Amino acid sequence: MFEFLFKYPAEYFAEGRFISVLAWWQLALLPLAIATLAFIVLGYFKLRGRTRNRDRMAIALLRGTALAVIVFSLSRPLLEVTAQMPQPGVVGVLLDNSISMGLADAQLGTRSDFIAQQLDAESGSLLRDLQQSFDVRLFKFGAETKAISDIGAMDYADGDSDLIEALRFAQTTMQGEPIAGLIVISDGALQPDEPLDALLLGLRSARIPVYSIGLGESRYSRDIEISQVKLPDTVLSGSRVMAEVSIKQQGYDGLPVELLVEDDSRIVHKQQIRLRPGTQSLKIPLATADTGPRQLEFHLTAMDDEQVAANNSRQAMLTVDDRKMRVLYYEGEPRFEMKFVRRAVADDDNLGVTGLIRTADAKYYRVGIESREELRNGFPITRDELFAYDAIILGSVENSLLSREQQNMIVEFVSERGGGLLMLGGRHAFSEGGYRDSVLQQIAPVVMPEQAQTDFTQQVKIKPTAAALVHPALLIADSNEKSIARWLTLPALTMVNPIRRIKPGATLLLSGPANEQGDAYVAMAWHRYGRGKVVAFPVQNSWNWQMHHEIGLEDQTHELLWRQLLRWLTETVPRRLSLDLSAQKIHAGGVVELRSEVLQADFSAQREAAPRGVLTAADGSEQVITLGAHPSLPGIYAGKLAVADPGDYLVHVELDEQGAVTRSGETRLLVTRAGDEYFHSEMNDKLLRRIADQSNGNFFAAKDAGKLVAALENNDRGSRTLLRLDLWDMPILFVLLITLLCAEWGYRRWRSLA
Amino acid sequence: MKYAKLFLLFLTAFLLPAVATSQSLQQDDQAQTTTQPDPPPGNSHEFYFTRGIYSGEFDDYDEGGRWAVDYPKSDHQFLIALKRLSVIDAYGSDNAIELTDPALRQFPLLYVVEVGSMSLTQAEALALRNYLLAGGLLVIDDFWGSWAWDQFLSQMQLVFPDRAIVEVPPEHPVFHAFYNIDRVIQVPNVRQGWAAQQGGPTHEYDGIVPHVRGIFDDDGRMMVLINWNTDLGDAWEWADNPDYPLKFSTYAFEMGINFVIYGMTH
Repeated sequence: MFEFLFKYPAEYFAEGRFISVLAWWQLALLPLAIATLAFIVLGYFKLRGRTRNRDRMAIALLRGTALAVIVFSLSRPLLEVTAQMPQPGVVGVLLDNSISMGLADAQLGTRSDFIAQQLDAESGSLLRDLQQSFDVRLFKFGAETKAISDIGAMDYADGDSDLIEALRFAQTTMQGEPIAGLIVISDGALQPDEPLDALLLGLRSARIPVYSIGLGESRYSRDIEISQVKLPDTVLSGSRVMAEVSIKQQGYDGLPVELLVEDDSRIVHKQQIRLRPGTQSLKIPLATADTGPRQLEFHLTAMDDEQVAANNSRQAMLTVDDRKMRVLYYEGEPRFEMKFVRRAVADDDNLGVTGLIRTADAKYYRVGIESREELRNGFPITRDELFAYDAIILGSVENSLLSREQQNMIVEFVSERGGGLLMLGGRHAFSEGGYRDSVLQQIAPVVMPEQAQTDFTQQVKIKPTAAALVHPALLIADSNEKSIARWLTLPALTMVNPIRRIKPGATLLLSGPANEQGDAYVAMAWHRYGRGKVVAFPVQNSWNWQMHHEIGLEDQTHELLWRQLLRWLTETVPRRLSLDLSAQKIHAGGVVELRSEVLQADFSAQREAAPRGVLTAADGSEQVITLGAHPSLPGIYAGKLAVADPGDYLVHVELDEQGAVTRSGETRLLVTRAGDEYFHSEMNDKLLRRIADQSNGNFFAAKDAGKLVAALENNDRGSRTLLRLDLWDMPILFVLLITLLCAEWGYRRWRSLA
Repeated sequence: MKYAKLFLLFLTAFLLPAVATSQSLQQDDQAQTTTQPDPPPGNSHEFYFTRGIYSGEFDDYDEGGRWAVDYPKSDHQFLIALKRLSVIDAYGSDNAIELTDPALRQFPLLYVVEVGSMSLTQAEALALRNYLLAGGLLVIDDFWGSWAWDQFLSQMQLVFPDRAIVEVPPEHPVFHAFYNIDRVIQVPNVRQGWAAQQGGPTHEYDGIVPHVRGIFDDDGRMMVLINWNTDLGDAWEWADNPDYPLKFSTYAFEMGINFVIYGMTH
């Protein structure tokens, strides 16, 4: 009877809650309805004649209640309730189809064996148990996600695993069905391209729990892996590169292994290292010779009993550039430093130093100019002129020789253009040059003393800091050990700028002797400022490392230092047309994003350009896409290229400009079947647990997979679902309305009222 | 052969009347040098006008060496002009140093005169060679005629046995580093300078045509700048004398400042 009158079982009303689906403006009409009701009721009280107050009250009550029932119905009342549905819940099972699933673990065999045992259509125990309670849908995920009918479709050949896309795909595919949960079966060796948070929040709000089963060992017992190789994107031809190699190992503590570095199959470095427990990192100096995009391969000796030997080798890309970097060296007075800096880099085809020297008041001398017009009016006063250089060396130039506009331009040169600035010591440099409160003080990596000490002169023995010993510009011998020894035997230099503090975030590279408080003189420090680098080298005469009588004629320390310093300062200076790849190595069938920055002659962003990304295969075939403008970053253009076949590709960006084609530097893209699947291939239980925890699911190790079905059955999802039930058409409302209207009619008849 | 040269030198230095007059003036200059100057105070200045002290065949000449001709007044006078006309942070006094002194390498520009009487020891030749190859610039001045040239040549062959000495072309930066010098002129000593005003010759001995020559390293960088048949030092020294022609002292200062600026930038 209750269900007949109220349309739904009584439990629904006990557990559920009332909500309305009216829009705000509809709800806003309710006071109007109440006012109308009040008007009607008051109308009855104003009636005159035979009616008594009691009659008016009764009629008003009946009519008002009837109207209230109508308003209630019009407000679209709903009952929100979680109810058990008659059909079974649906479970989506996402199976990792990546290559790493073929790895064997100590106890479980290969990871794919688990899938075969548990989810085989005929013999899979987990699949059987799931199917007893749920409708099971299978998906395989790798580079892309597909619904599959059985695990016969698994080939474990994907070089990438896009878990985020897989979860989205499954959720979308099963939309509208009572999803009891999603099950992810994977080793978790996934590198999500985007943060998981948004996806997990979505799953949680949709009340879809994710259960994860982790395959493999979370820590190998015997393995050596090159976990990371860091190289700069671009170096100048002939530069020394500092490669940062991270090595992770278990089970081989103290064992010596050989690290080999090959440049296109030519051995460029070989060294014995002793393995330390856990992770160790080392910096390796590498010489670059051949120009163009290079592929360096790093190999570590593979052990016979290693669990994964494929992760002992890793490739890294490096573009060796042959362009000439232009350096503007500005001196406020003639100094021998200019002579010897120019002399040091004279043989370097990739560096060109143009000197501008004030020789007398308002008289300048230019050396190394490329045209008669270059610097004709002294230090540049336009962005175009200044930004044509890649680095600036500021010598003993007093503050008043640079206008505020020129100093602001130098700041922009560093922060926006990405140029390098080297501030040398001298009697008119730093505080002694009046820069304490200048614009350039803001971008210096050192704190300039408040008081200038114009009578300060000290011979300072320079020492390298720990940071200097692994800095590519300051490695002044073939090996770190020889470099340290050389630094310690170099003769003292003259310092006329007593600076003892660097700014927070700056790196101290060279220092002089410390005072009683332990503060050493800063001899070289650097930091990044915006897109560029700023180096302070507050010494007066680095040429003493060339001319001193203890320095042999064959000694190349001074030359090497300046070449390396200026190369390091300039080789990362961006071009007007640059290219960045989202990855240097992808799996076949994967996608790489090309991102290019297009700048005008004054290095401001160029809008409305149409750069093309060109991917060239080894056989010369090209794949071209036009890069689209970034919606919010001016001058940035991007596009995605899908690469189907494994191989070694060259990528560049080109742009049509005034009838000519401008090309970016070229870089290499390596496409392999495996991608990076063999790296970081231990079971990533942290990731799998996080996915489960944040979606209200559970994580299970492979051996506990049997507990999964019970957990699914006990959740409140799947066959139970959230229902929103209409109440406006409940029979009780009609019954009540008719009863009230009839009662009013009867009362009037009884009381003989109109 | 050596004695023949000595004899020739003796004749030219002492028996020719014009030279004898000049020699008396030089004796006056020598009298100003009684002791070696104190070394400069550290490296507090950017530039030290450094005069090279070398061994010579007339070291006992007037209790000094030929290296010290016009010293130190010439050096002082030049420094006054250098500091007045440029912004170079120059040490204001003279700075003479022996070629074998290790401290020589702190001064990348070296001024040497009267090389016609130069007679380098092996150690001096080696030190000079190393100095020049490391990046120093040697400026030679005040030697005249073919006999002095031959002597200088013989000494340079001790330093650089197989390096050519070539004429420095007018477009070379050393002629344009501060002043634009289009023409090499002969700068006479003080006596010839006076004589020149009366229409007399400016040259000494058979050094009729002035030359600026150079020795360059393998990369074409100048190591030695040779002012032959001219005497810049005398012009600096007598620049304050109203009887010395202004055009010579002006040219000498221009040339001197040019080679300093050039030496500090190239």
